[in-house]
Amino acid sequence: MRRLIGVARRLTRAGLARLDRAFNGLYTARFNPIYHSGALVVVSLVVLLVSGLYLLLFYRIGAPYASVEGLADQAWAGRWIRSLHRYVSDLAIVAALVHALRMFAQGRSWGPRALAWVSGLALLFVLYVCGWTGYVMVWDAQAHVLAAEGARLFDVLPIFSEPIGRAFVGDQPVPAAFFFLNLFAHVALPVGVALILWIHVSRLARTYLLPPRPLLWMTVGLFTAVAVLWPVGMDAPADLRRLPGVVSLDIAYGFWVPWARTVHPAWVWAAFLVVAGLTLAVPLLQRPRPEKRPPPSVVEERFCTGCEQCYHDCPYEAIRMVPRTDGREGWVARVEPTKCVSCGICAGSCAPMGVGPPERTGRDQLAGVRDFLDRERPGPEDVVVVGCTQGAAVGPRFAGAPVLPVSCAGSLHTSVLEYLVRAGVGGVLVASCPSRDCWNREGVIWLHARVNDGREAELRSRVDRRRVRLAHAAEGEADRLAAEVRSYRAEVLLMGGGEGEERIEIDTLCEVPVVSIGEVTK
Amino acid sequence: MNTARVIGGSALAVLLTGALSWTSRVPVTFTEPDQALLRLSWRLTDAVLESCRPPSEEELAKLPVHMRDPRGCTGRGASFVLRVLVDGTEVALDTVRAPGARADRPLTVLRDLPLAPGSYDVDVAFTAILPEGARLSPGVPPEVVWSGPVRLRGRDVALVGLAPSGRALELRRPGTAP
Repeated sequence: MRRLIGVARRLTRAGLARLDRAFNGLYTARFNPIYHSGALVVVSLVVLLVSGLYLLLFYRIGAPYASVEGLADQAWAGRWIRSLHRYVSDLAIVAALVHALRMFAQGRSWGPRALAWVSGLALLFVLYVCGWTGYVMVWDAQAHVLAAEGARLFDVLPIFSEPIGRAFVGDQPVPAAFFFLNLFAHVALPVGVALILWIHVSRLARTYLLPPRPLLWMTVGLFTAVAVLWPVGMDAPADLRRLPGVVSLDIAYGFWVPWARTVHPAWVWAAFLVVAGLTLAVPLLQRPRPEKRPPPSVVEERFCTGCEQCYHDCPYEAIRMVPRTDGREGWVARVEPTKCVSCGICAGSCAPMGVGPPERTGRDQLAGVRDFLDRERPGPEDVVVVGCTQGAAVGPRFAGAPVLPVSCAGSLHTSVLEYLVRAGVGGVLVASCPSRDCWNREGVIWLHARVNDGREAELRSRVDRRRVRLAHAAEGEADRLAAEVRSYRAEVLLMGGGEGEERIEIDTLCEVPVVSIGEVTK
Repeated sequence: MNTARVIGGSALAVLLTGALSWTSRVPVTFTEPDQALLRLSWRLTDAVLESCRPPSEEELAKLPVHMRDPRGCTGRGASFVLRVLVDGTEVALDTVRAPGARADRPLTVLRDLPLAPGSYDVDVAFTAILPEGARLSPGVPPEVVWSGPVRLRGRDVALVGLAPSGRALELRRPGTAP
C-alpha cells in the first residue's frame, strides 16, 4: 500500500508541477490560483455565507420550490445571487480538492501535520453535506434525485426501523418538517465548518486565510459576472409520482449519483468507506519509516542567546521561549517535538547557529559547504546554485554552475552565502520555490528578509550583494531557472571573477533582537 | 506582463470559471422515456401475533402484582407474505418481517418494480403468516389485496398503498400527486 501511495504521490506531484508551470507562466507565481487553493476555499465560504444570508430571507419551508422560483425571477438580485451561491459552492469543493492534492503530493500530511490533514478531510465532508442539503432545499428534479438516493443509501443501514425512503414515494406530501430539518442543517453546518477550519489552521503561525487582493477580487468578480450573464435556471419541480428524466446535476456534489443508482447501496457504502479509509490513512501511509523520518529540531542551549528569532520565524509555532536553567539569565528556545515538522527554518534564523534539525544546523551547513567547495572547486567565474531540493534546481545540470542542495531555502543560513562569496566563487544564486509554493510555508519570505532587509541572522553587510542573487522557480520550471543561471553567469563574467580569501572566519554573534515575544512579525 | 499573457490568462480564467459553472448544471438522464415503475409502499402498525396461555395460580403468584395477567398473552411482530403478479406472472414473492431487535416495529413495505410503459393487470396480496394457535391483534386484517389494471406512460410511477381504512390496498394513479 505504501508503494501504491508513493506512486500516486509521484504522479500527482508531476501533474501539479506541469500545472504550476502553466499557471505561473500566465499569472506569475504570486497570483497562481493553484498556490492559493486553500485560501480560495475560505473566499468561497465567505461568499457563500454572504449570498446565503440573502437567499435565506426569501426561502420558505412551506413552499420550497415556489420560493426559490421567486428568487430566480428576481432579475436584479435573487437570480444572480442564487447562481453565485451555487457556482461558488462548486469552487469551494474544487479548490479544497486541489489543496488536498497539493498537500498529498508534497507529503505534508503526517506527523504534526496529520491534524490539518484529517480536519481538512472533515472540512471537505461537512462542506459536501452542506452543499447536498442546499440542493435538496430547492425541491426540484435534482433535489428529488438527491433526496431519494440519499434515503436509499441510509435505508440499507440498520439504524432506522422504517425506511426513510417512504417519505419520498409520493403517497403524501413531503412534510414541512423535512424542509425545516434540511434548512437547519444547511444553516448550522457552516458553524461546524468554521470550527473545523479553526482546528485546521490551529498549528500554523501567521495563518494565511485570504489570497492576494487582485486574485481575491478577480475570483469574486469572475464568478459574479458568470452568475449575472449565465444564471442557473430552474429544473422542473420534484414530482414524486414520476421518475426523474433529464436532470441538471451538479457534478461536484452529485458525480457519483448516476453510478450509485445502478448498483446496490452496499456498493456505494463500500466505495465510500474505501475512499474515506484510504484518505484518512494517508498520514500513516505517507509517514516515512522511523529510520528515514527527519528528526525534529534541537536547541544547543550553550549557543542560544535567547534572541527569540527562531520563536518568531517558526511557521508551526513549535518553538517556545522558557527561562534558562543553565545559570545564565534570560530565556532559551525550546522545541516541542510533537509540533516540529523538521522544516529547518529555525536553522536559518539562528545567527549563532544554536538550533536546527540534527545535521542541518547552520554549523552543519557550513561544514557541508566546505566539503562542497573541496569537491566541486568552482572557479572565480562560476555561479554556485544553492537549490531547494523541492524546487527546480535539483536534477538538471547547469553549465558552469554546480548545485549545492539544501532541504529548504528558508533553512539556509546566510553564513553559507557569505562563505561561498568569500571563498571566491563568481556568484551565488539561491534557487528557492515560489513563495506560496514553499513546502515549509514561510521559508522564502524569511530568506528574502535575511538577505535583503536585515532580518535577524541577516546576510552581513560586508558581503558584496552583486555576488548573491535570489531566484525562485517551481519544480517544473527548470528551463526558466537555467535561463536565470545563464543570465546571472553572464553578469558575473561582466563584473569580473570573485576574489577568494585565504582564511574565512564566520562571525556567529547574535545581534540585538529586532522583535520581541508577542509582536507580530511579517 | 505582456499582452499575450494578459489575453491568455484572462481567456483561461473565463474558460475555467465558465467550465466550473457548467459543471453545476450538467444535464444527466436518470431514466429513459421507456422506463416506468410500479411502486408498493405502505406501513402496517400493530400487526402483532398474540399467543395466549393462561398461567397457573403458582406462576401468577410468583409475579409482581402489577404484572399478573390471567390471560397470559405474549405478542411478537407478525410476518407477511408479499406476492405481486403482473399479467399473471409472479414478479415478487417475499416474506416481510417486522423490523427492530425485538421485531416489534411497524411493518413497512417499500418495493420498486420496474415495468415498461403499457397496460398491465396487477394483483398484489399481502397475507399474514399465522402459526397454529396464534392470532393477529384485533383490527389488523390478515390479508390486504389489490387487483386491477394499471396503465403506465413513460417515467410514470404507479403507487399501490394502503387505503385510509387500513383494511385494503389501493392504487394511486400516476399524475395524481398529493
